[in-house]
Amino acid sequence: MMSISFQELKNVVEAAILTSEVPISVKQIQSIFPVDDCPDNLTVERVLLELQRDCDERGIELKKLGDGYRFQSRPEYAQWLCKLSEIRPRRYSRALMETLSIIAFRQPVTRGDIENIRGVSVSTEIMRTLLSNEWIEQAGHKEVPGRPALFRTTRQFLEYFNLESLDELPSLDLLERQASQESETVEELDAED
Amino acid sequence: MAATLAHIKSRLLLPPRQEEGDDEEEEDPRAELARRLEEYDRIRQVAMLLEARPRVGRDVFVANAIGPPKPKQVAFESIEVVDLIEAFKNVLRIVEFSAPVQFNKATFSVKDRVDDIRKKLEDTGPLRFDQLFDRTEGRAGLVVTFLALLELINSNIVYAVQATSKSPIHIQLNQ
Repeated sequence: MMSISFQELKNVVEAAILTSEVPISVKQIQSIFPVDDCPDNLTVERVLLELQRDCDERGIELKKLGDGYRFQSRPEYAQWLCKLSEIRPRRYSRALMETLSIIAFRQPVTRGDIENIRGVSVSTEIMRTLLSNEWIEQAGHKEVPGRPALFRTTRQFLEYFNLESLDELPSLDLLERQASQESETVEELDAED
Repeated sequence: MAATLAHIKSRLLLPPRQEEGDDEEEEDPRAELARRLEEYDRIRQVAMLLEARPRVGRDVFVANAIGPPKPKQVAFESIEVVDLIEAFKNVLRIVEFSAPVQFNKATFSVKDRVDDIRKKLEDTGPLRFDQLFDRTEGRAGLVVTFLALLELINSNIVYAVQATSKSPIHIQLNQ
């Protein structure tokens, strides 16, 4: 049993998440307590769940991104909040979003892999933007002639696109199945002709 | 891509070869093209879904309160570059006495090393200064590691701490 009450624990965790500049994980939350007086995983999870529930009727929510938690405004209030924000959100080109999607789904990939799928050469500018935004990082080299660099997405990628994990995006298998169903229907139509 | 298309077109224009089993052996080049187009189409769909995700600074805004001042700044003052250079000299001294002569030429890049150190610290947590160095890499490798470390400190990604002026320097990620 911890020396502080559950309510106090909740307050500490809430303040810790709110004052942290980056999302913090269950492990990091535990690290702020002394080793001999530290809440176990289950307790921390329960605290987080209650904090999440406390936000139900508020403008902010406690969101899990990767293994970290942060408080953020609810997406439905963006139209008002963006008026306060001085920085205009940057628009990203279709080419950039496609390049990023390939890295996210086929990681780790080389520039060659990206070129194979998109059919055009990878823009250095796009790669530079993705790297400097820290959405992707280098993950070693592929052991083939030329040892091309491999790229993968980062924790910051999940944080920026509001994803708990890559599983939140539809899997390519699912899209593949949809595609094959569509082509079957096309074949059936063809047969009717 | 243009060459592939020209190849497909030429195959269609030429009369089909009469040899038996021909069509079984050779795959229709159009099938490969169709497969690639389908793959690209899926990626295009995913890109659109990603585009629609709630995004920081556009759809969601991070709720942040200002926390207590970080103790790292205090620790920072106690270490000067000179201290790091002193510690590095010790690392070099050991390698001079113990490392065998190396003949294989290896190239090191500071940029790669910056990433390596970062990964290492992410994986293992804070490390003692000398644990960052791999003595088997020889002088060049050690110097590159040291430069990468200075780079990381300069860009505020890691910081160096020391309990007292005589104790070993530790390097940890700035979180």
